[in-house]
Amino acid sequence: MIIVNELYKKFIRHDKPGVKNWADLRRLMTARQKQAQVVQAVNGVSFTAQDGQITGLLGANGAGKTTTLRMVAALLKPDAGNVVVDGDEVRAGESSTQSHMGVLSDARGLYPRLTARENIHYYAVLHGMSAELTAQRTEQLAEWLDMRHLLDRRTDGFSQGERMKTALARALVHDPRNIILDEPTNGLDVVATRALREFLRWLRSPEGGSKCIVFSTHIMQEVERLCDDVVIVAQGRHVARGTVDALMEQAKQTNFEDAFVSLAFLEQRTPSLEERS
Amino acid sequence: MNVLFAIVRKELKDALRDRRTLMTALFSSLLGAPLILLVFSTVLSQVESQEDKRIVLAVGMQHAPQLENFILRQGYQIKPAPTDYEAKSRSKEIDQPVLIVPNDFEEKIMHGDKVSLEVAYDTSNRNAEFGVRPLRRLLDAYVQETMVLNLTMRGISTELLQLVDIKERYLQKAEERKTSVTEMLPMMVLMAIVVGGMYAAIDTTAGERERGSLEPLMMNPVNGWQLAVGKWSAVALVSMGVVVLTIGSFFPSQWLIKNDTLRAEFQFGIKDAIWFLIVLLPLAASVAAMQIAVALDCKSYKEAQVRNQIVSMFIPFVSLIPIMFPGREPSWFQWIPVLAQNQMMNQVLKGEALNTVAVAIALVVCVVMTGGSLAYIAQKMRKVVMN
Repeated sequence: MIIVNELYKKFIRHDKPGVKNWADLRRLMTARQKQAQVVQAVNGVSFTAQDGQITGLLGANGAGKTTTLRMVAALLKPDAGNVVVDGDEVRAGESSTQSHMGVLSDARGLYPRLTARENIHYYAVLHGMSAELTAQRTEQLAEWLDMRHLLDRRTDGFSQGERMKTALARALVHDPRNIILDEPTNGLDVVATRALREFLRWLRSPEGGSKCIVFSTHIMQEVERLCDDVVIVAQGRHVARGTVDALMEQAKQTNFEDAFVSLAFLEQRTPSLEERS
Repeated sequence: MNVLFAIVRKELKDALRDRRTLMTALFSSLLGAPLILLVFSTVLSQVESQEDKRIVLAVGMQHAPQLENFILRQGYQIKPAPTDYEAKSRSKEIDQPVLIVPNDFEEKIMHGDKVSLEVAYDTSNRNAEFGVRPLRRLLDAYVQETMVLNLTMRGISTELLQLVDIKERYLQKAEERKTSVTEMLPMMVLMAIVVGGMYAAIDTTAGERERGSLEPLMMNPVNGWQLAVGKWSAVALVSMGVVVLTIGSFFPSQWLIKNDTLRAEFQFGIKDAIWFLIVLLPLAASVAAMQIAVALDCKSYKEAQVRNQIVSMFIPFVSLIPIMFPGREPSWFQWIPVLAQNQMMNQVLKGEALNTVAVAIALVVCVVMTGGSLAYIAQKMRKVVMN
């Protein structure tokens, strides 16, 4: 179970202006060369993701989804608020909660010169798994994800779908209770997306281990088809949450997309802010 | 411990599968020494070939049958010089000085008159210039012989002329070898160390970050020290491999030396190789740590490459410092990394024994450098992906 309490995170962005004339050049010479701009990426996000449920973080580009998930994954230190995973508080840069978390980040981050199997095994050893267990688990994941033929190829020439499968297998090799997926369907075709959806449903089921799954997306259909619980994030804040049906009722819309737009853009929208540094 | 080994194994595998890393490591280690020795042996041979060419180019040799006879007796061949020898010497078509015998040479000698011989060469013609000394020696021997003959005919002992004999005695230590060109070698070795491991260091930090694999790595329960030591070990192994290969390349390089003088000068034995390893392996390991530290917070491969190249530019500078202190070396040299190793390598090449204290000091400096860099990497490693 993942409990997220009132997270806040701001970034300081340094703009490096281009030099077009003498005034710019003079400014560059002085100490005031960089203009700092404060970007409030996450501005109070709270939600609870239950075990055996798929929780969707739905929001437009730049709404603060990735930043929130990075804080949950202990990669980023929140300015305020906290995250509790299975009763342990997450501390950025520390590894206490990471052993029961599997994270698939936006950038899949595979090692191109290693084979899929080597990629998976590396993470298994880092999680302290024995060679025997690793081999067994790799076989199991390869079976579930239908990627046995990929195992001994270098990941260099993999397609988006193959890359996602490998990264997912790598993130799940230590059988974590909590699974965090950042835009997992990005760049996937219909077949791959359906396969992923099936796999996530299976992970949610008691046979699959009743995992606690959190995933972020900006695609309505994903949420409609998959999520038990939806958190709508806009401008760094959660603006609504509930099941798909409850949200449609709340927005008095019959179409989920319309419901999302009316909930997420209820207030006057400020210009989009990029959440990543 | 398992985790540490896993990191080292993966980083090594990754580095050795990277063509860029592998190529630089191999090129920097295997090409430097053979190349420099080949070039120097060719130059030295050019100088020496003039000495044992045993051909005299002459104009008007028919006017000096006695001299001709003498030269032939010394085992030299005499070839008539072309009439336009001046132009040809300038255009470097002939690579020897030309001996010019005046028409009245024999006549004047018979009468006991003074006579001059001319040796013509162009100073811009290096090969011809190299040939002047042997020709002068030959002519001096002729002059000496004529003189001795003349004196003996008049019943005077030649001993009288050579009452004082001068011999040169070198004050070098007996085991010390002459070095000149080999002074270039230590710098080549140092460059190989710096360049060899550089790409591995960049790839494991900025390269990983650029490819997006550093962030997922941080989601594993490993701490900064494990990552720092693991990555450093892999890069250090690459760098130390470069050291071993470079020193190993000295042995086959010796076969490339066609020149006897240089071969005598560059006698690199197993014992010298072991001293080189003792001096260089710690340096390679600490340089690897520093290269990782320098590349650590770079966002891209390119940025890390630029930073590392700036650092490696100092290596040739450091090995130039001794030029400012000719003669005795100040003792603080021992405390400067790279410089200390440079001096010690030169000592080994000269055949001198190394000072144990100096070796220990260099080792301590390397350990401190490595420790400092690793501490920095360990505390910074997890922070780089945080912003």
